[in-house]
Amino acid sequence: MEIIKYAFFQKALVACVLSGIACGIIGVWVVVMRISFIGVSISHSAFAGSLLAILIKKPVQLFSFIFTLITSSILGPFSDRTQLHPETSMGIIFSLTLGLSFLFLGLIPESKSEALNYMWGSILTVDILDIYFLFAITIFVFFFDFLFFREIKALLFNRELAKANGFYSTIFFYLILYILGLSITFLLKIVGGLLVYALIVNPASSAYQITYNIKKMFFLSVIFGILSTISGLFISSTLNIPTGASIILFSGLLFVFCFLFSPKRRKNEK
Amino acid sequence: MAEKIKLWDVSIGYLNQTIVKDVNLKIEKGEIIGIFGPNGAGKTTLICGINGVARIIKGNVFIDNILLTSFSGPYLRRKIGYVPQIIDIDPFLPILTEDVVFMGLYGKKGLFGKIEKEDKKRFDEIADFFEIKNILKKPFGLLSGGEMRKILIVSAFLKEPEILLLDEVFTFLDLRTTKNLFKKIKEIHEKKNLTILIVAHDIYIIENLCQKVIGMENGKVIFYDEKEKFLKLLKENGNN
Repeated sequence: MEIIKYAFFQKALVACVLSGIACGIIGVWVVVMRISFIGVSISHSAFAGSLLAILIKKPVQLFSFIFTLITSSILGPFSDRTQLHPETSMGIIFSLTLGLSFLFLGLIPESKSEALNYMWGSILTVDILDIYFLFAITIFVFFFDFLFFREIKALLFNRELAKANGFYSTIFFYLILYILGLSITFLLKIVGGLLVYALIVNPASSAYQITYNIKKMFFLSVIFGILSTISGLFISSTLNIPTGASIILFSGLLFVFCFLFSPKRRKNEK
Repeated sequence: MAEKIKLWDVSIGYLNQTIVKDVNLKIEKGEIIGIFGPNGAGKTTLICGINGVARIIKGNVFIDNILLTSFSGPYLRRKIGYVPQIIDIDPFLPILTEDVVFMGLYGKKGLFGKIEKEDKKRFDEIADFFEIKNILKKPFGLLSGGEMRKILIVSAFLKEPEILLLDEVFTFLDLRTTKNLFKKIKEIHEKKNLTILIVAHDIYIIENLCQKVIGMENGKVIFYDEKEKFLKLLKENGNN
């Protein structure tokens, strides 16, 4: 535990707590609305944007966010069940963003270490500016969820009925997609472009196994998010293995545990 | 009488498919209208066109003489109570029944609108009438088809709509709830002069509840007139 004394580790711990909160909340939106495929495509497009920025030497977060905005704006209408069947279109966009990522990665001429940081994540190198951004996005996500809880709850229940009841369902759906993109942009550095999505989905999916109450689900998802990031950080520093991978594996195991001991499943089996 | 709903040369559909074609309708305030027709005639799509949940492919829909667009839609839908025919819900969904009951009202209240004492009183009255208080704390996804339907009906009524769109609302309901719903529809229609559209397969509902009938076939409105004329026509054609 000697390592806790070091400033870089303390910053990493703060980043863990903040990203655990943000991912925990966003994860509930994604999991309950069943828009996982959109989320994966958005996170891959953020990764592609960051690699392009490194390639042409521009601000990484700006490009990453622009890419997520474009992807969200394309995928939003596809996911609208009243407009088009989403599977094929999303499959194409998903493979396009992944293809772009590897193209940009291949084109980067010098050392690829910065690019690889965005692929696998490097929580131990977060600086104070990263923490400020992460803090801002976490506060934003929290207050968005708190202030518009009714609207979000209606959307999570059924988008068609939310619309029929007079909610601004389309506006809120797009806002959720854009906030998802914005959050992923700032989380890339923590767990990396290939793993960030798992940190969004796994804690919320674990909470989904436990409760029928949406407020409790938000709470549990945040707790599981923080638990995953902090446990992953300590496991990686103890065993000297990659942090991003440890975080995701821990959150995956947590899901398996919640799935196996889910009170909902036991109740249904009865 | 004032014109509540007007459809002017309207085609409605989903995806890129047109399901209801070239509809022209004028519905007056306070009318109860039955929508009758075989499966696949476009009855559900027609009412989903009136509240803008389905895609208006061509033509114009007016509610209270206001054109239904993506801008006016949320405002106009606050006047409309809608009970869908089916609702696709995951049994594990983390939403409680009491959350669903108040969704209609919250939609009407708009952003940051508060539930007043009056609303709570009305909720108690309707919840007692439909005997739903014992299931309010249950997860919505675990309710039976009939219970879900009852909750969606209560949610629509609680909203105090000016227009009520009911899609095969009597399906799945037990006899007691059916009787109660019949009574409640008549009661609020008399009290509030509500405009009501009911998709129905049962001729009993047309006979006992409706004033006019929209007859549909293959996505077209083939009949729109008084109930008596419809029933006479039906008799002449041997109920086909």
